[in-house]
Amino acid sequence: MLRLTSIDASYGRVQALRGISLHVDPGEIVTLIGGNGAGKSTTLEVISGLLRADRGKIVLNGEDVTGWRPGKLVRAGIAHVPEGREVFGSLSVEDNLILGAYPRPRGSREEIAADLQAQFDRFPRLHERRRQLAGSLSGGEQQMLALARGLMSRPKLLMLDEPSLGLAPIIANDFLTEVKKLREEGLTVLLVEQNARAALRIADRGYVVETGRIVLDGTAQDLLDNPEVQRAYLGRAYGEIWE
Amino acid sequence: MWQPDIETMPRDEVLQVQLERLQVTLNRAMRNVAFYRERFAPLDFVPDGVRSLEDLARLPLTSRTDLAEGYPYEFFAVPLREVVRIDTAPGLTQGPTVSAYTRVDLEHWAQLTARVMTMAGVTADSVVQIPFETGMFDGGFGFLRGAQLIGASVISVPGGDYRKQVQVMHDYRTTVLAALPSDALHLVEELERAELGPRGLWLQVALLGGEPWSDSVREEIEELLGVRTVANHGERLAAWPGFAGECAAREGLHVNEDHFLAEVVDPDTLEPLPAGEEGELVITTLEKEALPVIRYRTGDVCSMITEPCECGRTFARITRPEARTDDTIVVRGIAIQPQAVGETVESVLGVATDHQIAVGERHFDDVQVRVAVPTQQTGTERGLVELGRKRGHLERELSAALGLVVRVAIMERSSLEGPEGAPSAVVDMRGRE
Repeated sequence: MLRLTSIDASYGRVQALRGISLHVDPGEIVTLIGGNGAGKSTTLEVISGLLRADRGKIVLNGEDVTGWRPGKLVRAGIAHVPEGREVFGSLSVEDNLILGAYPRPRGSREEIAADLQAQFDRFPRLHERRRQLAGSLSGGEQQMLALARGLMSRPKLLMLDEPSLGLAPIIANDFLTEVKKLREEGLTVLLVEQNARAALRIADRGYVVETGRIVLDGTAQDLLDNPEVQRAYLGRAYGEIWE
Repeated sequence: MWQPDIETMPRDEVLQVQLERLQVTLNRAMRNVAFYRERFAPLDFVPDGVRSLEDLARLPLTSRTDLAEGYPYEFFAVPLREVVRIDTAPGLTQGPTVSAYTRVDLEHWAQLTARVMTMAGVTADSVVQIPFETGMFDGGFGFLRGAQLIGASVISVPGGDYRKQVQVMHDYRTTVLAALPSDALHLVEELERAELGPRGLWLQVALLGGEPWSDSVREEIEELLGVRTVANHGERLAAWPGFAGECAAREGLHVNEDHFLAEVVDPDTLEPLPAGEEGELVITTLEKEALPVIRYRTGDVCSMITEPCECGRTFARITRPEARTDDTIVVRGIAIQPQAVGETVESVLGVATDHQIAVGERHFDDVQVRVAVPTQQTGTERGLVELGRKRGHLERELSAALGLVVRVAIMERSSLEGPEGAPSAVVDMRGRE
């Protein structure tokens, strides 16, 4: 579904991505893991058009979408749930969700209403709080709202940027379990996470990003078994290791 | 097919996966392997300049000498404690070559071998006989693990007792032989001796590889053992077995391209050659963690076949390698370099003298080292006795170094000479007629 070939990207003079190549096949959950500043979020920003690549190619469902603007990419089926949730705090939960359907073609009011109901069915807590202002929700609830809002655009590819950030581990795990359920409904997911263990538990495959480059890739199980990953990202105690 | 999703991946997906894994391999090699860091740094485009598979051809090649100089672990890309297996190949070469694996490398290798074996028709109902060590020797170990994944029964019968091999084949109704062509030929002889025709056994398939064998040898084995032969090709630094294997169509060996990038280059100019042209096989590993190699010159001669195969697999094929670009000769999977043999001869005899390696005279895997009589040493009777003693010593040393039975014959220099006068370093009689 999505293919990146040798993407370079920079913020001004700082080169953030060097030769990033990856792919996501339909129905997969693929995760990008790595430390702070490695380039994971930047990769998502390049895919959703928020940042323009310097070199390289992005192909979505066989079409070259390199350089497309964000609006066009959303209409093409990409939903980007950003880091920090970014819900519209002064609007109600329900309005946040309706806004999520903005990119959809006009005249599909009934469909949108049906989808809204579907999100409430999926996230009953959001239904309870549907008239509440989004800013008054807890972190976990806001993350759910951000996800539901993303789903309202009926995406083919859902991209999640650090959903577990700032969430208690149990909440984060619940959230990721929801994401895994979505895959069963046919959604394709690209998940960026610092919490490598949680991400690898639900992903099919993963890529490890370090200083703008991909240094490891493989099935989620291969990565969980990889000693470098264990040392760097899975918190394996140094007491267990001596070189 | 063992992994149909992977083995029938559309071509554009194969190329994407290869590019991703090549970039990862280069990133890790630059970070973890001093040799590659030093070799590539002056070029100033690795790894960031490698943006497509075509860019690979701009990188320098890695030779066996490079690897030998890096012995014991200069080429390891992971800490030694993560290397769970090291195979030090027997052979007489300028320097030792090892193959090394992490736990994940071993798992991948087993999958690749399972693919090759499944291609040959091995199933969970098969009874696979492996006539050599399945412990630390790569070939046997590889087949064992592949067979285990498939769920086939495996009988390992090491040692050179072919009478026992046939006995076991008969008693346990072996259906698959995974072996070297030499073993198959020994079995043919043993069947003749025992006056047991191929009908007396249940063999269906012989998975053969590990040393060069011609089509006429293939026909001989098929007829006299009553089996279908399926070729496979291994490379110690890639996967052995598991690098490439024949499918039912038997027109070339599919390379496991999601794990290995195969190129064919002109052995003199080192330029990449297009499909269909013969040259030296160069391999870049894409998934190996412990010991990745980048553009390694295997010395094997073959050509690439890129036409789609009727079996449906989308991995490209290579022709079965028979010749080599260097003077190394491979017997029973063991590499023999004339120069290294010469050094042993010289150190045992105490003097430099002409020598020749003759392979295949009495059996397919028969190795005889012919040494020209050192002129100073034949004068006296004592000299002759001394020479005889040294001959025995040389035999034992060469046999030990190679893990093969080596015969040594001391001859007149004129007997070694070929039609052009000077003795050729190697005489390979395995071509048959």
